[in-house]
Formats: sequence, structure tokens, C-alpha cells
Amino acid sequence: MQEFGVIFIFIMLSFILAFCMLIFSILCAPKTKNKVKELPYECGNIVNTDSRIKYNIQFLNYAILFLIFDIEIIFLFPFAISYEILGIFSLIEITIFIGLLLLGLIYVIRKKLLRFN
Amino acid sequence: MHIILSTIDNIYNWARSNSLWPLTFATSCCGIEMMSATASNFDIARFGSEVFRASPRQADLLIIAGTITHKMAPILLRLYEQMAEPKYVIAMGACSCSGGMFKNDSYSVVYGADKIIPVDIYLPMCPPKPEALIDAIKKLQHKIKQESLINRDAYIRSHKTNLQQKDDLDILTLKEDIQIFKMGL
Repeated sequence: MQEFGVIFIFIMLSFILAFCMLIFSILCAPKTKNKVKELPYECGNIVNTDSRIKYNIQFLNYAILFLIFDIEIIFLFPFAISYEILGIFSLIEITIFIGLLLLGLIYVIRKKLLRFN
Repeated sequence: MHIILSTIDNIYNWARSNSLWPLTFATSCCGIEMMSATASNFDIARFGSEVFRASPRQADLLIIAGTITHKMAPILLRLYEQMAEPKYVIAMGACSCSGGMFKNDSYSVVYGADKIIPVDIYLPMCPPKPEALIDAIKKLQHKIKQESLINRDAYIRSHKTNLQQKDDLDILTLKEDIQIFKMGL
């Protein structure tokens, strides 16, 4: 119990210190307010577009291909190496995972995205 | 009362002057000397100024390291306005002190950063050595240590830009500010 008391004092002290710092800076620091101060920071330039960019829906196909042929390998490789340690439960998990991605593969084949002419 | 205030002043100024966080703002070759001053050979960290902030909201000190062109002028002014008080400015190098070698015959250079924002310490030479920058920071620390909480209004008045005094900050929120600045300077 002794050690937890020390931790409690530490947490209380850190709160008190932070509180004192905030109060001190509110009381002492000079402040001004203006329009330019409230502008969003863009290295000093004026912001001209929204930061949320809309991507074209056509990129969905590439995203699915990337998931199937890249991400899947990354997850399958460590599973295959340590299969003997992980046991039968991991096999069920990875089957569900592959099953979900298989739907994507069927979609890609139906859309004829794997034909490179 | 005076004793209490001067004690608070001492602690406050000691803390502020030994943790001057500069803004990352290097417009030309003086910036290389500034980087050198930050690196281990000269090590500006000994004087508490090693934390170069990438945002003006966290910075106390604006080291104008390099030439200020007319195109850069509104950006510099906007960055200065966005810094939180108390804020200080070092004009590093001949270009930002007076225009330097571009003085009198350049169409694109502002002849001195003090035409745009108030400057606390002028550091001439082309470019200054890292030791000179450290000296400038030491001088600024000395200047900060002379300040008092009673004279806070005087500080705010002396660190206002011309635009702020005229309450004319609207042009900084527009896109055509570069043209306006070129006419004004």
C-alpha cells in the first residue's frame, strides 16, 4: 500500500503544478486578440481549399485489389510461420478473414478487373 | 507590494528568458547558420532555445533568418500576428536588418524587416556566425530580464505592428495582400 501512496502524491502534485502554471500565465501574460490570430495556420498563407479531399469512387477497385494481394499476404505470412503455436482457433479466425476477402476477389473477377489488355 | 511584485518578476522573467522557443522561419542562407547553432557544435540548447516550433502558436521568438521579399512580407506579418504574447523578434543577418546587399537597387526585397514588424534585437553580418546568434539570444534574454509586470501595457504597445495600430488587419485575411503590401512598402 505504501507504493500507491507515493503514486497518489505524485499525481496530486502534477495536477497542482499544472493548475498553478495555468493560473500564473492567465494572471501575468500580456494578451491581444485579433482576426489574424484566429486564422487557421497554413505556414502563413491563406487557406484556399477544404482540408478534407474527396477521392474518386473509381479508386475503390484499386483499394480492393490492394487488400487482397498485399494486406492479406502480410497477415498470412506470420500466421503460417507460427501456426503450430497458435493452434486450431487461429485457423478458424484466418478462414473467416480469407472468406471475407474472397468475396472481394469474386467481385473483382466479376468486374473483369484482373484482365490486363 | 513592490517587494512581492519584483520577486514575481524575477521568477517570471527567469523562466521566460531561459525557455525562448523559436519559430522555424528561415528564408535564406542565414537559416543554415541558425541550423548550425542548433546542432551539437554550438548547441543553442545550453541557453534553452533548442525547441524550434513548427507552429507560431507555441513559439516565443521569431528569428528572421534571411532576406524578406515583398512576396514573403504578408506571410511574415501573419506569422508574427499569430504568435502568442509575449513574443520577441531577432532580425538575423544584414538582409533582414536593412535589406543588406539588395539595398537601394532591388525591386523585390523589403529594406529591413522592421518596416513590417517591430524588431527587438538586430544581428548584422552576412551571414552571422552561430556564436553571433547565441550572443543575440543572450542579449534578448538580458532584455527580457529587465521587463516588469507593471509595464505590461508598454510591452504590448511597443510590440504592435503598424497595421495593428491602424486597426487595418482585414487585408491580411484577403488573398490580394501581396499586391497591397508591395504598394505600401
